[in-house]
Amino acid sequence: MRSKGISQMLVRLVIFWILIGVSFAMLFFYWRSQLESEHVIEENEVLVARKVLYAKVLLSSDMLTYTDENGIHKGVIDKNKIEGLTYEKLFETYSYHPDDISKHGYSHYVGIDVWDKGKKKFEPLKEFPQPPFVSKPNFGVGEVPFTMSFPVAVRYSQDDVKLGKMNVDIIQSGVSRTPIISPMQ
Amino acid sequence: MKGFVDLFILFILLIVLIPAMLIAPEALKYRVQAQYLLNIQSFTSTDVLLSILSATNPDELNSKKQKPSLEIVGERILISSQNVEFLREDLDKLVKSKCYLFESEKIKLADKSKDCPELPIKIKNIKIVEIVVPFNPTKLVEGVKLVVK
Repeated sequence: MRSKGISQMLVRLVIFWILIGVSFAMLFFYWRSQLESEHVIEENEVLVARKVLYAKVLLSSDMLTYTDENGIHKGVIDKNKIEGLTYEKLFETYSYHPDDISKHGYSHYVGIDVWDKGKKKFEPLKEFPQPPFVSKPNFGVGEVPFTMSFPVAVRYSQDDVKLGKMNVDIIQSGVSRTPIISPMQ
Repeated sequence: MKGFVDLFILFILLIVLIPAMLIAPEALKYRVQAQYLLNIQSFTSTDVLLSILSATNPDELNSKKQKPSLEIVGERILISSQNVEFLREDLDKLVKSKCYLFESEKIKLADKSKDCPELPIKIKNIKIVEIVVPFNPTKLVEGVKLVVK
């Protein structure tokens, strides 16, 4: 009778400790996922804002856009200018330097796509990948791709101005990029 | 009985914590996407408008001669024509959501999708681009705007 009481007490004790352990483990994982979430959100906000600002600068840059006696035509990419442009010259003038967020600096990617009426899709016209930019990953956070696209017009001649996209990406050098949440759908 | 109470508490904990852990990444995705949309849609509507007005299109009223859309829209405003359907294809290409409203005082081109949300009462960050309307007796410039929903 006494041993039955002891065994019941032991079972309760084991259940109690299992309960405590499971609760702590779950709270720990929940806390860790929250910390990761906050980190992802902060990093994303900074990088998205930087990509937008960087693209805005490029869209108004006379290195890429069409210029005439009236000045710079914002958002109108001059095909002749970008054909002769190298990534060294582009990123020497326009690039983020090492700062508090990335001690090793940043790698930039700029690509111009143009709408092909025959194929009914955007075709790449010119790409400027800055080494050691690896490749354009096609995943991001949810529906948010890493490479951001901005609308442009691409000027071939006075009578031929096509619609296009300028793709911009900035990554921290020395930091591997992994899909933190889920691959893009 | 006490063991049953312990199991019940464990069950309640599991019921509360497991969904919370599953929902946490979803909330993150929602915040990141909201941030992205805010940045992209509010900042690029003017860029979309500039790109579309700069691109050339065949002018149907002028023997399909290639002209900047800017000039074609200016002419349509001048003759009070609502025929700016040629812009729809360009808008569909550049506006990812396919939900938009292109309008001036005399022209209105809205998306065709029924899934697009209604416009908010107060629209912020929408800039009006002024285009030249030559030979217009009342005013020589007309404001056009693009609202991306």
